[in-house]
Amino acid sequence: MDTATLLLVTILLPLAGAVALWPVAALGTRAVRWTALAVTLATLLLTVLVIWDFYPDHVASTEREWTWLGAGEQIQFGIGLDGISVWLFALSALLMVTAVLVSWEAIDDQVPQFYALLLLLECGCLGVFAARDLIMFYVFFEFTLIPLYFLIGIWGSEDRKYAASKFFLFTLAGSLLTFLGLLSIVWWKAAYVAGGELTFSIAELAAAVQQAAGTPRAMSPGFQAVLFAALFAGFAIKVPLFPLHTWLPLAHVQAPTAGSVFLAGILLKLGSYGFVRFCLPLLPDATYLFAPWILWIAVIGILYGALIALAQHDLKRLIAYSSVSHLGYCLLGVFALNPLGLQGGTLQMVNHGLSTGGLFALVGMLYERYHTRDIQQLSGLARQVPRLAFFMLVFTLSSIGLPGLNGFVGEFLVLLAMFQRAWQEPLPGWGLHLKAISVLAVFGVVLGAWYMLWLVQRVFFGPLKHPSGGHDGAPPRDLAPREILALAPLAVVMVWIGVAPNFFLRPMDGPLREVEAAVARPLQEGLQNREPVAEKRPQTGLENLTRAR
Amino acid sequence: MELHEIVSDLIIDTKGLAGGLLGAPTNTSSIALFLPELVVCATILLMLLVRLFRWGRTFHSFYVAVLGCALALAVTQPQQLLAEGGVPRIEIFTGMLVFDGFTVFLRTILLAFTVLFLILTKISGIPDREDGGDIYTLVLGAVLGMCLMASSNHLLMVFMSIEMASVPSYALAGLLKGRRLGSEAALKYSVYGAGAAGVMLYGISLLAGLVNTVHLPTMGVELAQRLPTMAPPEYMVLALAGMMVMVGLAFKLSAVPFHFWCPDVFEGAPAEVGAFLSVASKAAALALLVRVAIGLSAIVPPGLPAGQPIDQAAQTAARDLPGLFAVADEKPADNSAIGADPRAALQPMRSLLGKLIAVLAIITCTFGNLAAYGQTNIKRLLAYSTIAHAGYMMMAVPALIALAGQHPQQAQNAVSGLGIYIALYLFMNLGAFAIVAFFRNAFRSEEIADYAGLIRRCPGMVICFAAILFSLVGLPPLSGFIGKFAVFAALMDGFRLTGETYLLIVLLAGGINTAISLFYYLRVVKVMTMEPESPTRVPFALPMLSAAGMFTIAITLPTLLLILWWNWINESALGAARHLLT
Repeated sequence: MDTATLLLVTILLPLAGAVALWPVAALGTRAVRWTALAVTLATLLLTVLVIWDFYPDHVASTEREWTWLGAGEQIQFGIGLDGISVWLFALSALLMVTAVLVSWEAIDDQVPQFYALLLLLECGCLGVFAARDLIMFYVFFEFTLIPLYFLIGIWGSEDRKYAASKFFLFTLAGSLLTFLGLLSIVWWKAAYVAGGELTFSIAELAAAVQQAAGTPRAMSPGFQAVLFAALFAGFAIKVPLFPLHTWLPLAHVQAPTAGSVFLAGILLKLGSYGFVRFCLPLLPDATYLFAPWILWIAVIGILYGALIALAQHDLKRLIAYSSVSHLGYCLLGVFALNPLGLQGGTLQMVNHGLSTGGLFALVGMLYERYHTRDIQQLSGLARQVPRLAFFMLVFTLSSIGLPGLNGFVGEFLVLLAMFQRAWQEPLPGWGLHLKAISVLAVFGVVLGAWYMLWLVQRVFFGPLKHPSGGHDGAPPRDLAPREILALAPLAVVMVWIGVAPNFFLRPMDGPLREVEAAVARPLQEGLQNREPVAEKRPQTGLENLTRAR
Repeated sequence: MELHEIVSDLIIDTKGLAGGLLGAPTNTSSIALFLPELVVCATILLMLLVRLFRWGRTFHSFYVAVLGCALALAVTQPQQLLAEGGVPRIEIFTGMLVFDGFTVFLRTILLAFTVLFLILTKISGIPDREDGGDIYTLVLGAVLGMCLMASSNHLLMVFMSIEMASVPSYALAGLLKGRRLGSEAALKYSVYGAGAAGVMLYGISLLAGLVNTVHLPTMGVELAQRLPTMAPPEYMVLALAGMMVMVGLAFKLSAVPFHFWCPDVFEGAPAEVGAFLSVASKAAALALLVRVAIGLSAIVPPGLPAGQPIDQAAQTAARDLPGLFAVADEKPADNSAIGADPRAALQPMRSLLGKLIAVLAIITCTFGNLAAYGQTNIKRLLAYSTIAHAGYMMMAVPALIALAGQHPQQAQNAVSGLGIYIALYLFMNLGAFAIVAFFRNAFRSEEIADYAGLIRRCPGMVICFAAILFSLVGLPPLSGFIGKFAVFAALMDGFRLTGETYLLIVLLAGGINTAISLFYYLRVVKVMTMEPESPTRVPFALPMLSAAGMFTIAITLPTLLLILWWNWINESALGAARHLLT
């Protein structure tokens, strides 16, 4: 079997598993759980095989198009991986194993439906990252909403119905605009570049934009700005960026553990992935124009999320706000619009998925033992559950960016890129802004360390305190092998990324360079335009320094 | 023209050249092309006659009806849509009706729907053996009218077919005898219907007086000649007439502001009738809207005369076949009045009609979605959802009209987008109403609140219902997405090629409406899956391994799976639209 077919099987396997759970349900819940685990493990195994063939950059070997739907030959069932999507694809397969394992005992109501929805969700996420065709991307993108809606709404905690509806409505409203925006690009291409033929292939669209750049056929800046706003609406809600984030803490708090893990780990990345995959290559001029604004929004999100997180005493809520903060770094990296930043931003997506996904899993385990998520009711738990505390500390350190773990690599690259960008800013008047953004972003790191370490200190150290001795008076048991199995792979990958980031960065290099090349043109034009303006301004020493270099 | 010539023309038209008066009709003759409708007529007669005999009363009329419809579906020959070159456009019965791909497509949809609908009524047991004959007669009578609507080529036929489809529907709305709501529904429906029909007839007579013809293709030609030199009062009359005709169509489409009957009728009538009115009636009305819109806004090459072999007919097509009722049979030799491009002359008409329908579509869609939000009865909710969907489907028509001038090929694609939507909508709405009917049979309630916690009682049904509701929103990967995509693509194409901004506004309205519509569909899903079960509900069983369950699965599967393979629908719809404008 060639790699492309293998990839297709990998995507469809969870779907088949979800269907298979229907007959399996008759055999009882044990059989359902084991089947679900077997399917996710098989999917993970296949993913590893695909990446084995793929690594480091055999894009062609994974790309394949099958004739799909109608409208002539334009819409294809095109799948393939590249450096931008490969690790997110792998992360989806990995986190789903964790999600299945953490639900093992937590879910005892309507079990077959629960696992069927989880597997459908996995199929959707794998499909999004493998999609090479715009329609296919959108189909999978929206498809992820339905299973998660039910996961939150049926198995969530007390306020679940409101949370589920809010989540669904927010994201759907945004993504419809995104879809219209993406379609407009397709029609623009049909009208102006290729002479009337429609194509929905993402790569061909990007190539067309490149080809038309600088010619009269290119999209006008105004048109690009409108489309950018449309795309931004969907992706920014998904990420979520600062003023649009209100659905996130609610959804996280109400979702069952597996839902939180997957929501934080994968679904939020659909937004930032969408920015890298669509906004940058397809709308370079608008991206360049809007980048400083988005950077501001991102950095406000970083600080806002961090400050709100500091004030939380619900564990899930705290981590949810930390997500808002951390995803700001992804966006910061992506919209720094230089190779370092793109690499850092993309890697940070994976990092955040690992650490926050892991943290949500841990909070779920804590809740199973102590039946509370209130930090004020917990203290000194490291004595009772030392293994849990160990993993908590590892994931926390990864989250705050300790050197040697994955978070450091991502944040360092992002901040480096941001500083680089700030001192080379070609847009007159924006230089100071970017410098301010860079500096504020560094404060975000400090705040991040503060609230996360404080959380660990309050919950796991100090005098022992918990509400009435766990569920049945006896001290709760420490992590079971099943739970360690759910967490250990995440920790291993964290260390792996931390000590050998190049293994993960290498495949990203090629495709991200292409993305960067797309936005480089407006950047270069901006630089040229700046020259006369810059001559008139009194130059600061630092600017001279960068110029000289 | 001598009388015997007219008679001979009529004979040729009706049954073809070959074989003289008594020979078998040729396959391009009016009779042959009208065969599906004739089969339906025969079925109706058979159903009525069979009950005269004692043995005929021993079995359910369902079997006669369903066999008749299946036979009619078979003689419709839907596979000819996919044939090379498409279905030729033949004007049958001296131009009163037209036979083309669109006719075949709509007939297929209507008859296939009727077969499914009949099976549904048999399973849900709405007409018992006593009533069966009456009700199925009404249903088949309405279907006959709808088939005629889809193939109307003449404003008189437009009016007659609308009436033919409506009158049985009025009776169907009052199907539940002795129920106040049902009687109220029937009364409202018929009063509204009569009013709308009157206005429409007035519009038709104004139009006939103005352009000297009511034969739709001739009307386009006439209008193209008259419009450039038309005096303002005449223009006013034309606009008025157009609007009045629209009133009749809007009533059938349940477009705002002629939608008032729809929720009341759906609430008062059984869910099965709701399914019938919301799918078949809408499909036929949309087809008719397309026909009228093309007739008023485009110049269509004349169709082939009936009764002659295709190649010979193509030659005689140039010699305009005089329709008996088509008054304008003398075309001016010089086209100087029209100018160099007769299509351009119709531009004001297109602009007017396009904007009118666009506004109607936007209002209908938005109103339907907003009003559905507050409903507590599932049938009323589905009624408003039907109104909203009529709006979505109407959105393809402004694109068609705008493109009809310079880009007939793309205009046909717009029609095919509409065709795809109709085909998919059939499964979604029939499924939704069928499940509502099964639930009603199971626990005697149609209130949304009583659906609480159904997921625990009958998970299979709820999963199917949820899939259908999400599909009605248009969420991928369910089939409703394909329909919305096809219509929106048509609008986008229209904007790209004609630069008409109102198409973009329609597109945006469609997008926003999709988001709004999620609210109320989601609410139903939420009640079914997330609310706790009411302890007072009568215990019931609705297993998937029953007739009802199997029917639900069969009707839901297309909704789930069509995303994988919908090219055949696309091809059929393209085949259906192929000779509409070229």
